[in-house]
Amino acid sequence: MELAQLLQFKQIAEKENMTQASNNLYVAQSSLSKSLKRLEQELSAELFDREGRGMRLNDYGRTALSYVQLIADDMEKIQEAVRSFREEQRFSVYTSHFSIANYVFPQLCSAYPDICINASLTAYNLRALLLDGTCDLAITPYRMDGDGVESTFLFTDQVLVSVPESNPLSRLSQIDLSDLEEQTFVETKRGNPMRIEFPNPLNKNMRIRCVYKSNLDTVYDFAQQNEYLYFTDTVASPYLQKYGNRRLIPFTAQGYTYPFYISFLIKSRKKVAFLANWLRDYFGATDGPTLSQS
Amino acid sequence: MELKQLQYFKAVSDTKNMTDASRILGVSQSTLTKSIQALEQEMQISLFEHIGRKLVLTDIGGIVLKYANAILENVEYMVSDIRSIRAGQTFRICLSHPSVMTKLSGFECAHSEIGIYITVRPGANFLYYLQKGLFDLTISDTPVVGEGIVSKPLFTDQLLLSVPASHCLYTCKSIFLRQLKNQTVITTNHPEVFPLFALFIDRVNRQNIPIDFRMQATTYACAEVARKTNWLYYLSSIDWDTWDLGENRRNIPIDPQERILQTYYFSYNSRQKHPEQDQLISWLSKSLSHRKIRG
Repeated sequence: MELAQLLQFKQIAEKENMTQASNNLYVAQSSLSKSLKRLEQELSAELFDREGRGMRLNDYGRTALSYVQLIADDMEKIQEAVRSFREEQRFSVYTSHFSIANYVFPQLCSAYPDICINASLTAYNLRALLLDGTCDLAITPYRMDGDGVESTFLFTDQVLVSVPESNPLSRLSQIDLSDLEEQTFVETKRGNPMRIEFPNPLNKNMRIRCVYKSNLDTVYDFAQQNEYLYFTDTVASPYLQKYGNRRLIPFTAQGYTYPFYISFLIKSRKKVAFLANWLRDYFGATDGPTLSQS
Repeated sequence: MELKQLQYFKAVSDTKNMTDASRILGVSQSTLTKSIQALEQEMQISLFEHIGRKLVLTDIGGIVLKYANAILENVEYMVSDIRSIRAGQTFRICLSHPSVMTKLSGFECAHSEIGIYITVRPGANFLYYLQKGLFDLTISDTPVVGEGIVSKPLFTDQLLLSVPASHCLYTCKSIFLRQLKNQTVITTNHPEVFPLFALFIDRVNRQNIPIDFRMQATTYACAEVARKTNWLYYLSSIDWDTWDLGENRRNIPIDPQERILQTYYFSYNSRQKHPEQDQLISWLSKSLSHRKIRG
């Protein structure tokens, strides 16, 4: 038995006519007919007296309808409860990682269009924001366990160098700082908050030229046109596919691989569970407690 | 939303972990997990959260569970009722508690020519049942009030205590609650199921009377314990003649002043009174009023 079958039966019973019911439900009359037949088989009882074109409920049908009305009401009540629960919910998700804020957060928000999620980039002390309640969920490259905060591993990010195929560096399987001598990089402007997370690896003593642009899209376009290099990371990499003829190569200088963690107040665990689970799904995290784990 | 999803959700809520639930349902854990996740995804909420190794319902999960249980129950009830109609059980009775069940079974046996359908549905909407003609008669611990519905007291149940001869309360004509201080009392009956017992436990808690309650699993276990000890056991006046817990015991009522009483009402739709109803009610009233409290 399926809930859909019961609701279809209800519609037929209310309209007393198969054709009208199938119109209202936007299903073919034949499938509605089959659905009813299967229900009657399962209940071992016919629910209607078929009178010409009309269908009138018999005793069995009247009994069934009485219960189906209760069931339909409860289904509606579930919808209402869920709707009002979601409307009351406001969430704040923060990260200090630019790529997560830029590429992942928009997807998070659009996955839950009916819920108010404020997901943004911040340079502030996220532990303090968690403790004072400004932030519900934080994504950071360090753990914050303790004092009522719980941290779980989310994913490991890797800094990448985007290299045009015409550049001999593109044939390397990994790039170190010393490989970057004489190369030209494009970066967002110094002091731009977008570059909080990974300290600029470009050492002043090296002969590396750097061109600054105002925003990331301009960086990518400019680098594409001029076959320059830029830094990015694994989070952003799927979104850079559209810039052809380039390779993304891991930058293996010390300290440019970061594990990221989700942190939240232990008492808010159930409130943020669905957000945490969405993020874990996105990053394919297999550690930590999620419902996808047996 | 599908029935199967609700069934799986209920099983996980009841057992509080995936492993037991999947074993009970006979499905793989991944099937179960996928089903729960699909339901959560559809409603965009979390039904559970992990606390340590245990799964705990979220607040919204608890609300959904309440309605899910009601939906699953109503599917069961619908199937059961249709089956009973097919079996020709035309006299349809619904009880809110099992209290009166044994007596009704007696009537059923004595009148096998009448097709009787008796079912116990705690918390069901009896007004709805009577107005929709799903049942001819209901018996419940509250009157059913509504258009065209007749509701009358059937009998009033009172609490009895079975007291052994060796006990200091043996010679009492009636017992006050305060006299039960520090006594040990056994029973098989559960307060959730019997309103009278719930009332008793509630009253005893409110007055802070310390009583050592020991629930027994079966009447046999109760009988054994009663035989070996001089503990009291409580029972309702309906039950008194089904208990044979040995010699040298008296059934003494709790004093009426304590007002531990439960009135049961029978209700029916005035437009739809079953022809056998009057016979049933008078039979029932008689058998319920035979309270020979053995002395």
